[in-house]
Amino acid sequence: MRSRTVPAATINPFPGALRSPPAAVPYSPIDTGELCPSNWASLTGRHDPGKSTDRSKRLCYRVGMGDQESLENLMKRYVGGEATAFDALYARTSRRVFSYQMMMTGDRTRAEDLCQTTFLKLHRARGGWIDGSPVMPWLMAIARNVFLDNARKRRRARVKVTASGDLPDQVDQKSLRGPTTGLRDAIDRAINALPPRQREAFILTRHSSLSPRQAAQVLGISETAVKLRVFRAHQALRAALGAYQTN
Amino acid sequence: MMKPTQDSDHLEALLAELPMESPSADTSAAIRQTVMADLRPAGSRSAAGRAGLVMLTGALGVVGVVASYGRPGLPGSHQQMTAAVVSGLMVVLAGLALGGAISPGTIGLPSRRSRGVLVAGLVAAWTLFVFINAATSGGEHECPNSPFSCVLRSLAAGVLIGGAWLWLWRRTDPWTPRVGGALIGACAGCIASAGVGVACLTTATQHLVIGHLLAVPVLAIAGVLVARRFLAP
Repeated sequence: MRSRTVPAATINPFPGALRSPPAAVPYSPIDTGELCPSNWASLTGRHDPGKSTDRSKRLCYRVGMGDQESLENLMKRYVGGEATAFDALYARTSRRVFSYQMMMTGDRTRAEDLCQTTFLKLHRARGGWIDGSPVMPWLMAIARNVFLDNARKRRRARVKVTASGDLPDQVDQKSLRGPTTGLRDAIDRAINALPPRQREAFILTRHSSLSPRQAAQVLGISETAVKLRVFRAHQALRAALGAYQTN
Repeated sequence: MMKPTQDSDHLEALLAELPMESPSADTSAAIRQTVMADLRPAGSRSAAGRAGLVMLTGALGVVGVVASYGRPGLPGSHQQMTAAVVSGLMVVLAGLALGGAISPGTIGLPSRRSRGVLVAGLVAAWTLFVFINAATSGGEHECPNSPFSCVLRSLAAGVLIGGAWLWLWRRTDPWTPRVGGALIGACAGCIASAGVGVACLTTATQHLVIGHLLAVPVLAIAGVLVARRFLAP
């Protein structure tokens, strides 16, 4: 396994981090390559080392990465029956799975159900995990299948009724989210307006923090196709959100 | 707070507004409770280990098919020796193909299209080999068995081999299980067909097509149909 150590000085701490970074952050392609989109600039056509480093650091610390055990080791211990390994694995992957479900469905309740189904499927299929293979593409592919199965079922159900036979209450999904801003709504609208393929590639690479190669595995397409979809999504978002800038 | 401008170079900053949301505490607790209630060691094999078992079961399959004809030993005809060598190669290739294609991230064929090309190429190459081997065997040979006897043997062996491989790779392929199933079916069919080719020497086109080759597409299609149930988590 190729690895290198990034001196702390080159990844200066940023305000609002969950914790201060260690003296030297071990860098491993499996561990952080999926989380720190070092190739994000290549996807978007923008090369801004300062910003991409900040983004990488923010993502790494948001998901609590850095000097931690790799997901593959955690998965191996979880398959071996260790409860603590599952807890650690869940803590490090649940947000990425849930964010994907949330962005794809736009419905918090449904995303909770899908997230639960995804992890239960992961549990049932843990013996099928190929020892040594990357965990995130496998898990995200399961999450995607769960979403697609659910979407097919919903498409088949022409009239959606509750178990008692009543029409469901209409819930304002925005009320289930955290506090929103005008900008947040604009971003949501812009992402929802993307063509589904572009939106999915964008969410997987940007929000679920998979590398283009891993996203290609999840989607069953080539890495080049993923990069193209993300690039186009980025162009569309730039056009849609071009009217905004932070003060 | 926000003001519209024509500047579109702030997309990174804008997208940073998107929070990474977490599942609720209730959902997390429910997941944990279910998992902990059923947490016990579950065996997991590496891609190389699974590929090795694929080769072993494939070799056993070839031997089984040859043995089912009840002809001891290998007479040294050119056609038969070639078929035997190619059978061995098929077994190795099947192990490599399955080990590589159904485990992206380790060796990895990432796209659905490249896996599909692998399946089509395998079937085409095998068909070509069977006819070339028959054409270059020197003289006409007739098999005492009917083509239906051969196809039954190849189908039975292919189902056993393919079933063993589906079990070996069960719940491993959430990406493209149907293409994975086609690959398993095609490989199992080719190996069963190779075993039949070792024991049944014939140059009759009809016999080759029905008795030796029909099992390959049939098993590939069967693989597509059952794969999602077995291969997808």
